Amino acid sequence: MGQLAEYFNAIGRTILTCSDGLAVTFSHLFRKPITIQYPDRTAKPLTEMLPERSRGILEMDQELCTGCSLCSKQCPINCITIDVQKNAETKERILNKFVIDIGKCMFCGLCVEACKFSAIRHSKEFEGTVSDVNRLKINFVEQPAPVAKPKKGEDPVLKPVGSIIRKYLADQWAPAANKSSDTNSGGKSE
Amino acid sequence: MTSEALIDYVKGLLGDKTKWADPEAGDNFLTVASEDWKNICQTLATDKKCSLTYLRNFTGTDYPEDDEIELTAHTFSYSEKHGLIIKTRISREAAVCDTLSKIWPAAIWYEREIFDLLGVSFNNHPDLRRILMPEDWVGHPLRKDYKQQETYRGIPTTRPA
Amino acid sequence: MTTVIRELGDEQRELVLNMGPHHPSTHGVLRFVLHTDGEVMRKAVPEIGYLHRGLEKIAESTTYPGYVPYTDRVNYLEAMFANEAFSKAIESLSDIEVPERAQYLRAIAGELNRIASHNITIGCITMDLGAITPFVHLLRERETINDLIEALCGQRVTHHYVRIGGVAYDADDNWLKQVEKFLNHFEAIIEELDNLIVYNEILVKRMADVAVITADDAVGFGLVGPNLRASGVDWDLRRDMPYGIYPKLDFDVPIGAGEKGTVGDCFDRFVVRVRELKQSCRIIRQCINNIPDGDIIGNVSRKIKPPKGEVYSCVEGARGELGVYVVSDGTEKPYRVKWRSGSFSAMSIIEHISEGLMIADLVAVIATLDVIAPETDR
Repeated sequence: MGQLAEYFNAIGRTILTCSDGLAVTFSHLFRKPITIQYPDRTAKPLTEMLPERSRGILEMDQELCTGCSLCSKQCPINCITIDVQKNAETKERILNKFVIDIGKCMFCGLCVEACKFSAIRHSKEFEGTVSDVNRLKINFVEQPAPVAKPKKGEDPVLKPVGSIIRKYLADQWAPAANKSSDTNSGGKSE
Repeated sequence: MTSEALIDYVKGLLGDKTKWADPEAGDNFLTVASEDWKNICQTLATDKKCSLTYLRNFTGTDYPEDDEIELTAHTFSYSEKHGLIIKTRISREAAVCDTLSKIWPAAIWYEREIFDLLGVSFNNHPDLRRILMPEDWVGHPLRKDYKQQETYRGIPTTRPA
Repeated sequence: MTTVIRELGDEQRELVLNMGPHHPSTHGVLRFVLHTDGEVMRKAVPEIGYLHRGLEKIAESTTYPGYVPYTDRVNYLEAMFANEAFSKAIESLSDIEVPERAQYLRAIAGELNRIASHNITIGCITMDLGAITPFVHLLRERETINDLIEALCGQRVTHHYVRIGGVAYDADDNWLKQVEKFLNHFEAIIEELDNLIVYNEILVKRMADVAVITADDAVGFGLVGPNLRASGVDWDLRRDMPYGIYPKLDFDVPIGAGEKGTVGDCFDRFVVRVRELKQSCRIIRQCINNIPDGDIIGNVSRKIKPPKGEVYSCVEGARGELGVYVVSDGTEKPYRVKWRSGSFSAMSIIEHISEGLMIADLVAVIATLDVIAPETDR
């Protein structure tokens, strides 16, 4: 008898507690939804909505880099390769190569903190899918040129955040990006 | 007990079987001979005043220049709120030690990990096999002279450049 | 899944069933070998190591500051605590003093991280047992915390916020106000959670009296944190071995009381975590009210060379004691680093408690023990 009563009691409790839960769920019908449709149905592009300190893919400004290698020494996984050579005639230091392997980078920000000249910094770009992992090695030096020689007390002229890396990302993923825009426009005309 | 009181008490309990360290920095610890290892741990775990019932951490460190592997057990007592670090040293070649798994069941997995990563085997362990690395892996990674094998079952272990 | 029928003699047989490594309820890449007799388990043997990244070997070849971002990867749900444990170890080795404001910020960020981690755990427990709605609700709250933490330190999961000697970035008043606003909202959600799922009869029946861990077993196998407290052992590192700013704060430590069954059953492990959410909110509120002005990082040179010696330092993470044992040989690189994680010991007890459990209950055991595979494998 006791067991039978407990059996029906349990059923009663189940119905009661489940309806308590459903009441909470029901109340969500009248709350503001927070879901944002993917991809980015937002007023602004998502990269512009990220907070100030957001650590995205690294970018390097060749006009500011002095080739001091402080960043590559700080990097725990050695994902930065810098090649600086001295020109025998003019005695100038030439920056030949500045490669960041984004496939290796763990976005810790130690290199950015080490750089005294604001040459290397985090952009807010975070989407970097490629079909081949070697394409993630980005060389930020387009033409080997003498390294920057900043004067003391002079503030560096910073380019807008992300403007450097965006170009490389567009290069890296150019075929895929073009294709998708083609199909989009094709879809509209139909 | 405070840590000084505990050290005095353990000195009285174990007599001349112990050696106390005087490190430059960090924690104090007690070193015992590997033959006494199991018995001393048993004594300290079951003694009413010590009651070190919780094996907080158990690990090994390789010292190739001394040709020894150091085993470190961090023990703790919830009831008395004190902790003790017990150490022993065994030779690198014949790396064998008595198991602590009968005293602290937590040691079963810690000893498997030490066996896996440092190549120390434990007498009378209930289930001594590799735990983190695959069964057929060659070598013990946390030994200082460890060299990673180039391929594992035909798969290269480093990323090709 | 492969199955094998093993003859045990005397007309006894058992079915050996493989569960994982890719299984929705194993919380990461983790495998179990189940020895079963019908629907009842003789034992479940966890096989780990699928996510071994060699974090302890890597430490031997990186500098001390360079290893801090690696500690983010010890456990992807509680990066803040791993950062703090390692930083604390180096601070006590080389006598670095942490400014008070940094300690407050560590506590705020840590407790936010604890709430985020518990949200996932509580959500996963309910989801593994069949209720998907609470998981979505709690993930929504975690999303807000991730946004807050991203505004603070720039990353959502791998924070790299707590550094040796202090913290990396300061928080402005606006951020603190946002945290307070979130707390006001979240405390209502905790109340709501009780109605939504915690006392739901179906969930209670699935967890009450299942896989009881006695206090002796819990201590012997080295369970820590909420798992230990659920077994009735009143122990919290924040209160009993205080570090940082915690001695100045006032909070309760919920312990398992056998509310719906026996002390130390799955329901206790679940409900202890739910109760901890509220305490974390209390801690954050006190921190926000009392946070002083000042430096956020102590006097730390760029090259850190701790003196010869060793230290074991631990913090109360979301899965309990997260400890790190560091041996320094006086150079720039650690001689030996060893992580002591709550999930590792929680995993080791599964073989012991699984005898006589139903196969379906194993899911409840894994979920309530809050086992995170990357943390066990390191």
